[in-house]
Amino acid sequence: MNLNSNTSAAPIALRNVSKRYGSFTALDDVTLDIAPGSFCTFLGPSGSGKTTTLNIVGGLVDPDRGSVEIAGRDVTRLSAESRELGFVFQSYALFPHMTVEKNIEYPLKLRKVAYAERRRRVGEALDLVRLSHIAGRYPSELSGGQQQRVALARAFVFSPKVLLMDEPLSALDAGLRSHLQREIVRITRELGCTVLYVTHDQEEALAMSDQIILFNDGRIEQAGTPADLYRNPASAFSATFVGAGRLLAGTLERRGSDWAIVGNRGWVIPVNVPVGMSPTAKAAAVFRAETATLRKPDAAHFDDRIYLADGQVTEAIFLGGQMRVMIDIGDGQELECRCNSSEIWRPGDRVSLDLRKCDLPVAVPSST
Amino acid sequence: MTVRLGPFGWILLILANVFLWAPLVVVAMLGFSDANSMIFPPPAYSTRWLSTLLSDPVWTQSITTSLLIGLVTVLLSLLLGVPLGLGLARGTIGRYYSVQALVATPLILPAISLAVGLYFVFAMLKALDSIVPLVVAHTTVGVSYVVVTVVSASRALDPRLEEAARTMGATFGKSLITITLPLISVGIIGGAVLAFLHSWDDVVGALMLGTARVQPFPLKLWGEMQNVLNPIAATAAVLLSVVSIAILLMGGLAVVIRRRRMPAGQAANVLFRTGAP
Repeated sequence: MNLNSNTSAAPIALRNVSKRYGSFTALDDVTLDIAPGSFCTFLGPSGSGKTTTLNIVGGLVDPDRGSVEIAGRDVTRLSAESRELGFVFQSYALFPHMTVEKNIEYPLKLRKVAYAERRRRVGEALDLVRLSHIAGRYPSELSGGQQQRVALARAFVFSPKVLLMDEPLSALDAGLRSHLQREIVRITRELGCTVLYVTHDQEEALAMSDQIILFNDGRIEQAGTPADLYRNPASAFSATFVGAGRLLAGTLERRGSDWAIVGNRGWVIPVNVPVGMSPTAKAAAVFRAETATLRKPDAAHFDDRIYLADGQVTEAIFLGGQMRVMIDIGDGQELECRCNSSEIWRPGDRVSLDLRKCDLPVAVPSST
Repeated sequence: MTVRLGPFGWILLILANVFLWAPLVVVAMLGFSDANSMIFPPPAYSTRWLSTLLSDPVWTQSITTSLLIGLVTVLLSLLLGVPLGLGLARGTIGRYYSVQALVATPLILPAISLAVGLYFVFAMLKALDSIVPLVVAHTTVGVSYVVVTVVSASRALDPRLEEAARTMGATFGKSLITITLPLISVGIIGGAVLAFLHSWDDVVGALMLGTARVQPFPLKLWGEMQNVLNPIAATAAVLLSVVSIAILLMGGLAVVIRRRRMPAGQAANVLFRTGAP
């Protein structure tokens, strides 16, 4: 593969970037650094500022304040066409009047690359996205997944230092998505360029990224590796958006040498406390479906577990290897647990929930 | 959705076609008559009036004049209409119905009012005895046609395509030439065909703005009908129609070819949806 021969991955830095649309603040003082060659995902709900940030890096939107640096060079005032970035749009934006081949060749023609070199690079790009057999077709004759791969090939064929992708998989069905997620990671690893990837799908972000920037209301809520965001959420928003954590609210109190969230109903949930969180604050434990284990109330209690609560099974859904069990723990509070499907639970069963000592919930500040 | 034609539908379809084509058939029969006057049905058929027409310098001169006026009209209409149409389709001002209505005014305005107005303007400018007044008169209408078809084609165009081209390094001009114009070409072709056809068969404007020297084909035909009643006027009418139909078919063919090159792509019915003049 020679496509990456003249690609040196570039670091990206945003400094105090803000953007308003009328009275709506799309971005509020965003500062971030992205390491060269990393796969960085902008995650967040719609309207959180992730696409605006991507467009500002790409030069399609001008920031009101702040600066953008790519490869150490200030590009804030540079137009999109002179930034040398590869862009993959949500709608693919393939040129309908050009064949697959011509679409991919287009950025090379703009750069006045010689004919033989163009043919070689288009051929390599087609090989990399595994579409050589349909080079002569028009975009309208392709499936969604194929169109997406053409868009990808067209974005990287001119060896940009940075590849920007705006929800490229959101229009595809689930099976194709997970396949293309791996394809995109494989291809971008081979190219070795820095990737900015926008998605609202947290599973996609966890599966693909080296680094996730979580956006909320035009600000960066939290940034870190996927494991960081999942295991050490810094806020209630992070905890619920990434990995669909359930918040069990109360006050944070010291119990002997450990910490616990003491809930309104006399619940005591042992938790890990992140550094710097104040002890008396209103807080919540982040409950993840896969951390609890279930047993019959009269069954023996394992030493490595901590008792959490009793409840009643309201729903048990067989998912294959796993089973999703909904448990009513009183007061209309329902917790979702995942257990091995070899355990057989039926609606109406009484259960006790335990937590593993090695995998305690994390405490996050909470407003309620 | 497809509508199935019942027997009643078929009868209606045939009647409508007979109604539309019958006059043309009559004119064609007269045009190829062998008689010295307009007798219907002609006693015999020949092409002698066609050869007479094509060898008469007054007639050929009028055909050349009409073609020249048509060509210049089309060029000017495209030059003005394509940017205007793109701007109206993209810009905020195009959202107002009043602006769209204003652009379409020459299509609605009685041709004679426009011609009278232009007559006095060009009389003042002392430019009456040239093709300029007719080109201007036809271009006002031609621009409207081009704007309508270009707006219609541009509405179906994804603005992200130009943005995509820009991110790949295309300048504004480059993306216009390689992306936007090819994608709205159907609208451009449609507008050009309509502008030409309007110019080609305009009599009203020619009556006011034509002169002995600048005598477009339809005006010469009109004059012929006033004076002599030999079949040469019918022959001219046939020629006029044949050129119109040929231009329309050529436009249609270009649209079909473009459509085949981008299957199920952009809306390609602009030409026929807007209708011939």
